[in-house]
Amino acid sequence: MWDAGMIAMGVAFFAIAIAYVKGCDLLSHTNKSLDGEAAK
Amino acid sequence: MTANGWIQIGLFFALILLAAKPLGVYMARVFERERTFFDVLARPVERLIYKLTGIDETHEMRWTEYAVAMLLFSLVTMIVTYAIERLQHILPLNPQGLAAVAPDLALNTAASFTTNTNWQSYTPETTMSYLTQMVTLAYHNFASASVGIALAIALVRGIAGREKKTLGNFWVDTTRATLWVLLPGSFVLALVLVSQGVVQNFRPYDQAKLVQPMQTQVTGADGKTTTQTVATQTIAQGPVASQEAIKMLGTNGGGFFNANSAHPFENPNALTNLLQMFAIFVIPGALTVTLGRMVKSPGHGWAVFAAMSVLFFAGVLVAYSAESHANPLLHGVRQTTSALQPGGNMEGKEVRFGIANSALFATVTTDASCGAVNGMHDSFTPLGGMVAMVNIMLGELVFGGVGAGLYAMLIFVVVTVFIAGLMVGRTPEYLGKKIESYDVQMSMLYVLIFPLSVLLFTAIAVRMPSLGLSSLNNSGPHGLSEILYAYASATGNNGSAFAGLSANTHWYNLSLTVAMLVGRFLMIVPMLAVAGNLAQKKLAPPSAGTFPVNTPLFTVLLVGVILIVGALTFFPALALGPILEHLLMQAGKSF
Repeated sequence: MWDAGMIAMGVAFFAIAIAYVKGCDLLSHTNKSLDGEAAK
Repeated sequence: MTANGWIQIGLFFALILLAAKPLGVYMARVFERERTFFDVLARPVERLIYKLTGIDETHEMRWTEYAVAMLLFSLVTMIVTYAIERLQHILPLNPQGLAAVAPDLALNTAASFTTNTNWQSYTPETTMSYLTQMVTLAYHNFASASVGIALAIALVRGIAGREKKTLGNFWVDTTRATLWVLLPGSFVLALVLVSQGVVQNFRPYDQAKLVQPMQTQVTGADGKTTTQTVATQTIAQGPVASQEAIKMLGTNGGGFFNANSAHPFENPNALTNLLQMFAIFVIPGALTVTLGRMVKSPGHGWAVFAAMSVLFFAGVLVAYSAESHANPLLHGVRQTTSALQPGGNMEGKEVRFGIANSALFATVTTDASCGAVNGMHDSFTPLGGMVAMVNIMLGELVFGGVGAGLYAMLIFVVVTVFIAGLMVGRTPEYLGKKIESYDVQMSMLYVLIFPLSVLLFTAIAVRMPSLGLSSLNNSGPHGLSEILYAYASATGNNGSAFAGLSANTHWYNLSLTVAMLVGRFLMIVPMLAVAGNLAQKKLAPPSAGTFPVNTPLFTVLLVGVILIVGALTFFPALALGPILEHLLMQAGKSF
């Protein structure tokens, strides 16, 4: 029981981390140049 | 402080400086897949590994694929580690018949070694079998270090790349880091350590008869105290040297024995002590040269090296000075330096190494994300202990962990370039690349996750006495320092303990597990996002507004930004911990 809980906790963290990769990638679409021009 | 102490510190730094260029150039050649003298041995092994595992070494990865590969690799190896810890009682190489590791401790240890933290909530020689130490813990010492180097190289490729969508191949980078850098370095260092007296065997523990049997008071389960005579001492053995070498070279820090590098079987003499500190800094120092070579700006690599050196010497100066001062609470005790005694604070220090080498070791191990110790940080003076804490809180970018130190520093370089751009009203540029909003957002995400984890977990532990305070051995500001240090060490993937905190409880095992995972992986992802974004940019020609990143001005600004960000973030917590403890010590109160 404990073992299942511990492994689930580890797997859950890495699942969140993979979703976080996707989230950071999506955020790149909001990228803007800091000199006011569109980012290239 | 003594001239002898400073000569030893100077000798150590001179060795790092001398090794930086040849090793840095060698690593650049390894990761740019140029020919090296070691190809004759490593290349056939590399080809065999790719053939057996089906890896296409020509495949290039976008930053997202690189990140997911790294995460899945870490998850699988972490679960395997957990399983071996739980099953060690029925597996071979367990001559002491040690029991299975408890579930929460097994998870904590698996996360700890996967993240290059090597936080140890247990006594190794009475908890881990030889098989667990070798197959899981020593393996992770290699794997987590090679992942760190690969990630730093990916960021450097991002800085150096022009209109590219990829950062390299995670599997190739980790394989090459292991075969070309970590394995040969560890092999040589392990042999040297064995020659100096570090043990390497599979024997059961020795029993030694005490020359003078001693009597000790033991409290039984019924609460009654009895006097027992102790006539024998158990002396732990094991395959120590092979683990010791990569423990230092990979900035892992997890000791084979509980006393870590204060144990004579791990660190027998002054030469091994010097070699161990050298092994901690040599790869992180050399990676700055690798950076300079790969981005085709050697001066930038040396400017980063200089910033690290300034912060390193500032830390050593404060730690050595604090530990050399007499303790005002020890009345009537002669504490000046003489031929008969070292002077200053010797509590918790190995007499073989003394104050200078203990202060230097503590600074080195916390500048890097190593965490090995040759003295007890908890027994340092409040200001001496604060140096270790501040080094971790700055992000362990003063040379830092293998790879982790360089990418932490480069994130601060992006922030520095951004601030420099704001100061002069120009678009910030870094080595010809315009820094954009996404780069700054991801860099700040990287910077903010660290204090969020440290301060949040510390606050919960302090505010919930049944969870955080029940296993604390000291009260007042020193107790706060112990909790603060634990979460900073875990989130920073350092792994050293301030001690004074019995961390093998459900709360600490699980909360420190989360802190270690957050501090490793949730910081790596935005760093790789910066790398991926930088890689695809065009190079802008230098203009009058371009901020050169290979000058002393850049070094000063970089150091300033690091100190200001660190001070603004952690000063309130430090004021309530070591600073308050220092002032109260001067007023005659200890904790």
